[in-house]
Order: sequence, then C-alpha cells, then structure tokens
Amino acid sequence: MVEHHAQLDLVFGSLADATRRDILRRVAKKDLSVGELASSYDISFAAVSKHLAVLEKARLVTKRREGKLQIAALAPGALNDASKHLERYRDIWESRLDRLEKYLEKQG
Amino acid sequence: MSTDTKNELVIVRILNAPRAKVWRACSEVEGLRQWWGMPSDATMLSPTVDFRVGGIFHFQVERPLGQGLWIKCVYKEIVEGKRLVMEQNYSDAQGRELNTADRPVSTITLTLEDLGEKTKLTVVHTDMASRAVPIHLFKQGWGESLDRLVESLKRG
Repeated sequence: MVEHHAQLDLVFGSLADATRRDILRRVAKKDLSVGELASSYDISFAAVSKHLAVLEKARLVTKRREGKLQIAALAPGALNDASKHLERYRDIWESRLDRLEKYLEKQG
Repeated sequence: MSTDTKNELVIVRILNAPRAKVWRACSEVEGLRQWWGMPSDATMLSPTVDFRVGGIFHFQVERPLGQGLWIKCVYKEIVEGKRLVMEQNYSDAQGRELNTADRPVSTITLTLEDLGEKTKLTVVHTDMASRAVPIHLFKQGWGESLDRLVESLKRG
C-alpha cells in the first residue's frame, strides 16, 4: 500500500501543473512528438522534455524514439487500471465458476 | 461497497445444486481445492482454510501468474449458508502481505440465493486500489479542472 500511495503522489504531483495536464490531454488523443508539443506552447523543447519526464515517472505517459523524433504517448492503462484489474478477475471467476459447476455435478 | 461501477466486477451464475451444497463448496477446503485455484488452468497448491470471521484462506498460486506467490483471503463477514465477504491479499508462504500496485488488495463477496433445487451465486469483486489513476480519487480529491481533464481523456 505504501508503494501505491507513493505512486498516487507522483500522479497527483505531476498533474498539479497546468501545462502537464494539457500535455496529457493532447497525448491522450494522439501520439505526439516532443517538437510538436513544444510548438503548441510558448516554451522550449527542453522544458517540454522536462514536463514529459515528470509524466513518465508517474507512469502516465511513455516515450519512444522514431528516427530523430521522440514520440510521447498515453501510457497503456494510465487512466483505467482499475477496470483492467477487474477484467483479469473476470477471466479468473468465469473459469472458477465453470470448475465449480463441474465439481457440484461430480458430487451428484 | 463502491459506488463506482468501474471498480466493481459482478458475476452471476445459476448453479444446478441446492444452496447448502454450494455453501460447502465455498467454505470447506475440500471443495475450494477443486475450483478456487488461479489462474484459470492451475491447480491450487497447499490450501488451508480457517473458516471464521478473521480467519484465513491461504493457498499458493501456480505459474504463470507467479511462482511462489500466495493468496491470503481474510474472512470479514460470514452469514451461514448465505453470504461471505473476504479481503483478498497477495502474500508469501508465511502469510505476510505482499500487495503491490500491480497486485492490489481487493474484496470478494459471495451471495447465495435459493432457487429450489438450484442456487443463484453472485460474485462481487471490488478493487480497493489500482495503479495509476483511480477515477473516483480524481473526483473526490481534486478540483473541477481535473474532472474536466478526466472527462476529456475519456472522450479521447
């Protein structure tokens, strides 16, 4: 739980900044290069990189390299991990209940 | 119980057995061993059941989910024959809790209803903690701007 809370601190800390919230909003819609992001704001490439690093550390954004470009994307599951865990449980439960049915049947 | 449906999984199954029999399968180690294992194709290893409020249902998870990983369920509420609430934790062989962001603590509620010779079993699995951004925490703890952010992200 400590790890979880630390992670939430990172998330909320990273979203306390208006520019970072805006960056997240943009990359959630579409993968964008750092250059494209920098041109949207009145700030430098380096400043955007710094913001991205913070979002990356909070596991909200991932960065990859495509040739000379650095591309930022919304991290998989950044905003819906809860439902992902639950989907994992769904498979587990469906197969559990299948086995329960068979077990009850076998018992006669 | 959570009011955020995103954090709650509900599964209903009609079982072809009377309620007392289903209850035994859900509460006794002989029955649980036959069906409660995880992941889907794994047999349950070394299960122990101390069936009382505060008692523990402990078993080892097979690979590929994680070698040496155990599940520790703590019974929170028992209504004989009808309702069972437990808190599911990831743990080690000694029962020390090893919940992490990727393997969070969760709550399982089983409800059994009589349907004559059949039984309606309802499973509610509630995620208590999840990794990055639980939407409800956004909404509770943060201002309108974050609400709007979440909404806009959901719209994509």
